Order: sequence, then C-alpha cells, then structure tokens
Amino acid sequence: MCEDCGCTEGNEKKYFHSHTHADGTTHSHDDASLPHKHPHEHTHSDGTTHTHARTEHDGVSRRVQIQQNVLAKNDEVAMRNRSYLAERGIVAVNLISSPGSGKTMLLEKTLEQLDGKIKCAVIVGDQQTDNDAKRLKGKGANVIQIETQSACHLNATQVGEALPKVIEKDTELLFIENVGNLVCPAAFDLGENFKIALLSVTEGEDKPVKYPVLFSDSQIVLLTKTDLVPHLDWNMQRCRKYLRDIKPGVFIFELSAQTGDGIGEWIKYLSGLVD
Amino acid sequence: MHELALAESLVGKIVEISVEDNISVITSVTLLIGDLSGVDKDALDFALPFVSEGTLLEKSKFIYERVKLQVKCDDCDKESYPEVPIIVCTHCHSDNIAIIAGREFVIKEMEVESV
Repeated sequence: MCEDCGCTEGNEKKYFHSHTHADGTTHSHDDASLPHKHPHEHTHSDGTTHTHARTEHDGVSRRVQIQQNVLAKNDEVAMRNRSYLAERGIVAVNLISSPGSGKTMLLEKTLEQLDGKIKCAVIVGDQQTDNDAKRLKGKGANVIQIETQSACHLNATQVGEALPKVIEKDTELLFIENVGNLVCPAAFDLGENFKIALLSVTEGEDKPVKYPVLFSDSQIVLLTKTDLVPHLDWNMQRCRKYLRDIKPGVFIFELSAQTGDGIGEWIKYLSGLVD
Repeated sequence: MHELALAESLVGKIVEISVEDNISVITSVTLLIGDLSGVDKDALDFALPFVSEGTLLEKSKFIYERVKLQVKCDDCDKESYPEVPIIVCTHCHSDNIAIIAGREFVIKEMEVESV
C-alpha cells in the first residue's frame, strides 16, 4: 500500500508512455513528473505486456494523440460487406440522389431489362414505407426494404444485416438504393464498389457544385428525366462542366426512364460490370 | 442532418478509447474536419451535447480544426490546395489529380486525466 494515498500497488492502471494499438494507431501518454509514482506492469489489447518503472496515478491533465477515424466502426463493417460481396463475385453500386430524382423508376426499368440476363438483388432505403420495394418486386430480383425511421441515410450495419437476406448463390449485381438525400448518404461507406449519383434535369444544373461531397466521390453520374429538357431552362453543357470540375474523369450518362432514351447505354454499361 | 449519427459514432469511439486507457476526465477533444468530409461543424456542435449527456464527454470542450482539400497532380507531380468546387491542380491546372486530404473526420487528440 502506498503511504501517501493508500492505493494498492498493481491496482492502478495509469501509464505515461507511447504505445501502439491493435489497429495500428499509435498515441502517447505524456510523462508528467509528479511526486506520486508506482512501478507497474500492464497488458494491451494486442497482447503486448510491458513495465513502467514509475507512473502517475493522480488527476494529471495530459494530452493524448488519438488520430482515429470517427466512422471507423462503420468503415470496418463496410469492409466486411465488401469482402462478403467480393467472395461471391458480386458487383455492388450505391445509388444516391435527392428524393424524386427517379431512382426507383430507373431501377424498375433496369430490372426489367436485366431480367433473365443478369441476376440482380436490391436493397432499398427509405425513412418509412415499403412502397419502393413493392414497385421493384416481381422483376426477377430479390428486393429488401430497410426503413431507417428517423435516419437520413443507410449505414453499413443495416446493409450488412440485409445482405444474407437478398443475396443468392447466383446473384451478380447488387443495387443499393439509398435514402433520397444529397448530403448525408455520401459520408457512409456501405461496402459498395462505387457510388452512382443521380441528378434529374428538374433540379438545376449547378447541383454538383452545391453538393460537392457526393459528386466528388461519384465515379458515375446519371442525368435523369432528360425527356423534360425541352420544357426546362436546362443547360446540359454547363451541367457537364460542373460535374467535371468537381470530379475530373467522371462518367456521365443522359437518360430517361420514361421514354427509354439512353437506357440501352446504361444497360450495356451494367452488363460490362459483371462480365 | 446526419450529424446526430456522427455525434453518436464520435461519443462511442471516445468512450471506447477512455475505457481502454482508463481515462476518467476529458477536458477537451480536438477533431479534424475535412472540407469534403460532409460534416457540418455547427450541426455537429449542436448534436454533441445531447449525445454526450451522462457520458465522460458531458463537460468536454470540442475543438474543431479544418483540413483543407489537398490534391496531388499526376502530371506535374506537385501537391496543391484547390478551392472547392473546382478540383484541379493549381500549378498546371491538370485535372489528372488524386485527393490526398480533405475527406477526414478524425479524432486528433484529447486533453485528459486518469483515475
């Protein structure tokens, strides 16, 4: 027992040193030269044990370096989803757009075209209702609806739980239709191969520069509802320029699920993904 | 407004670190927020008090540090800091670039006391 404070040596767990955690991050615990110290040994979560000759154990303010990603947990689950899909040879795309840009209608047409050619699965996210899932059923793909309730995005855990329910032995292509929202879904990796952003021509061609987080991270952009262009003050060239400013090298499709214009190219592209 | 979910992840992560390192008091937490992280500092600051209630972070001060968008050019090999939304190399104006910083949402450091 310590004569100064009555603590029992060996019970204390404080330490001032630099160490590395199991996930590879290193941080330090400052050594402050204060009067009250005990020698001790301790073991880290990675199994390493070491001894400190003298350590502090009273309330000493110190600065610890953390350098850890806040969304590490989500990213970890996303990586597990990615492995699950890769092991089965499945390509997964995460469709993100504002509400009403035509994600569900495009998926309806896409599933109809791919029926019998490519085995698809769909995970649909909405705050409430399974209306979208109902629309997508009966077109040859397994469909599961996730109701996120108050949340404005899908996260990797929700997708991970849905995967075994929609994926079959012969599934080749997984569509994840995210909650309609241009902001929040962009921050959450779900384990997809890549993100596809949809932008309908009714929304304004400067959306890519107004919402740079999503558009700078989407390798593919689908400009939808192009049949409405004649009725709108929409400048296709300007929109394409904005898209390239924010994401050089972006692959752009112009299409209309209503008339079928451009759908052929899109289907050809998807078929190329699973070849 | 996904900052509530982000605040929950943040508090969860810090509580985990605190248990592992026997931290009893957290005076301050410094966060790095990248220009393209999609994290709104004000919305996060609004959400944190609700999520921190009853945890070690209840009285902690949150310090936010901005991480500028940084790219590396594959043509001229230089690094630069373009302004969103025109993401090109500011030296040679090439768009053959890779983003090397600016997407972070990271716990940089904490000022703490132990039991």
